Amino acid sequence: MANPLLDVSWDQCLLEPAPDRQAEAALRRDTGTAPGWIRYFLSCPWLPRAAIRLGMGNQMLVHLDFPTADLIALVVSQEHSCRYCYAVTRMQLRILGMSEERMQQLEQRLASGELDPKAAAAVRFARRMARSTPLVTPQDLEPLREAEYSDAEIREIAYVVASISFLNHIATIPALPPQSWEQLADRWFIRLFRPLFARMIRGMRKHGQRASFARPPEGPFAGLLLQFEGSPIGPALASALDDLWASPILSRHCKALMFAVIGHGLGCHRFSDEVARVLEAEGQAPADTEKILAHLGGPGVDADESALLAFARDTIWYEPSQIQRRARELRKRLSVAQFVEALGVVALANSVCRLCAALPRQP
Amino acid sequence: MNHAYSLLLIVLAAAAGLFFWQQHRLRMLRARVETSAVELQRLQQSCALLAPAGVVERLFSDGAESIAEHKVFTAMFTDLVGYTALAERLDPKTLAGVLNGYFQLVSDSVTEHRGRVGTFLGDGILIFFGALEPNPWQCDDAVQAALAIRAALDRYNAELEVAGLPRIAIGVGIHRGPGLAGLIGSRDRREYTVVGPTLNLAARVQALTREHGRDILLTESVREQLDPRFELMPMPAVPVKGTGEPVVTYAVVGGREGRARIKEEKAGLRIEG
Repeated sequence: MANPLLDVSWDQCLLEPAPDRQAEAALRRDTGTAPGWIRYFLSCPWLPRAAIRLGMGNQMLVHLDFPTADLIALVVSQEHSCRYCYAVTRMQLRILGMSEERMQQLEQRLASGELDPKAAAAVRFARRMARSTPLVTPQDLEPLREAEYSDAEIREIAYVVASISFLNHIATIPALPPQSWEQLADRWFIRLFRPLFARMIRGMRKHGQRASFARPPEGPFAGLLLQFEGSPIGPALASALDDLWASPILSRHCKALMFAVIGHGLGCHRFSDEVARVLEAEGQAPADTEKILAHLGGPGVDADESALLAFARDTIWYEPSQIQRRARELRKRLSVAQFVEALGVVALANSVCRLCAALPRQP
Repeated sequence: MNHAYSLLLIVLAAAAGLFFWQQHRLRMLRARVETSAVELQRLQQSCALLAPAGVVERLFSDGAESIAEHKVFTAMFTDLVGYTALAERLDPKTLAGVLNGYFQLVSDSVTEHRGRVGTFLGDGILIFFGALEPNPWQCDDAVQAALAIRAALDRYNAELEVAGLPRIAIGVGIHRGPGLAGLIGSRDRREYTVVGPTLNLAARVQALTREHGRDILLTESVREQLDPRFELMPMPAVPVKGTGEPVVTYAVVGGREGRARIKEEKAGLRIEG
């Protein structure tokens, strides 16, 4: 059984990579790296920055071990049928020394559930949180506690699911080409220099240090962010959200409505309450919000915004080929920067909504 | 001495043989486990097309009996108008071809608007919206799907005419209400479906399309949840078997885009050509 996602039908990529030396240098200064795939997203500066910062390779994990995080990455990418992210994780594991045979054994154990009880609990939770029906709840954390994960590890498990889900969305919706990653581990130069590449990957996958917010979060989702107090996750997530709201490509009002649609579709009240506050701050009357959410259009929403709301709704539950077709239709009516920002908005909203639903509200 | 060596060699050969035989059995067993795991994964993936992923997992872990819950969903019932006359005019092979084309266009339109085809009942089709996954936009989706069926049927009829075949017409009834969703059926054969009076009323509303001379009818419970931009026309209330009071229905005249266009044209905002 080779890569189990190879059968997933995948459209032509909707975006062209657009190299931009200046932007890439700025990103390298900010995050320490500028991998090739960010060139698809450079028209919306906050998105590549968030994608790098929120990734596991950016010393986000303090407590959780990397083998568990890798298992979660495989399972979540499988759940979302993301050929791109699955191929990247698979390639990393192969370079880190896992033979194709061991990789296949791992995939079979994932399929049949033959894992050690602790890993199995993490995998079950990851599947549960990645799905939209029914939405994950704090009760779903109980089996993780029973499997003797600490509270800090549990928060990191939830974060890994959210972070991989974010990357899955930005890779699947525009159909980033997975083929090169799928074949990369077997290329002669990778095989020849495997120890060197493995060293590079290990260098990137270090555990992070405790970190604090530069200033306590006060805006939307402050309650969620404070649950990651002391972890590098909190400041990284806060910065991604701040950058999203501050970006001028799509209006803040439109982005908040896209968040609201995802909260409404997933049925997460905690997330919806937070977004309602953003919309109120934007001068949107709650009664109008209700009308807009009921039919994805209405007072003060133009045709492009209405299309963006329908698109946000489509990203809650999707088949790759279906969402890629709909994204292609949306791409025709937006500029590249608007389209890329819309990708980032739906990706972050889906992830943050699942985090809100999974982690218990702090008193 | 030679005898002792021979005996030792035989014992060693037997031990080696036993070891390799065990290894072979272990390899075979591992291969069978791996094949079963792959088959199980394929089975789970196939089942996911028929029921929500959570339901499939519960089916594997707890068995079929555990899967049943009350849901509010939107049911759509479509039926061919004049099927008997059509069946009399066409030979069986041509008739099957015409029917398959109709089933396909309904299926495609429904899937495009997030509905699920529940059952094919003769020339009728039972469709659900919001029964498998929660869907707060289920009424809008159902009416959009009905309009997509209408448009696809127009194109299909043009193809039938070119082929010298008779045009077909359909009736669509839409109703929203509660039902029992679960794995329902006999011990030998079950399917994930929804049962309850909501389906019966959708079927009866579909039958009213003949009486009112309209192709798409919906009930008050759908209208209440529907985007007001859809163009509807109220129909006279009609007594329906199985309901205490006459049923008020609405004919679907046009989609929300149509009304928006008319509004823009009236306001002089739309410049054609």
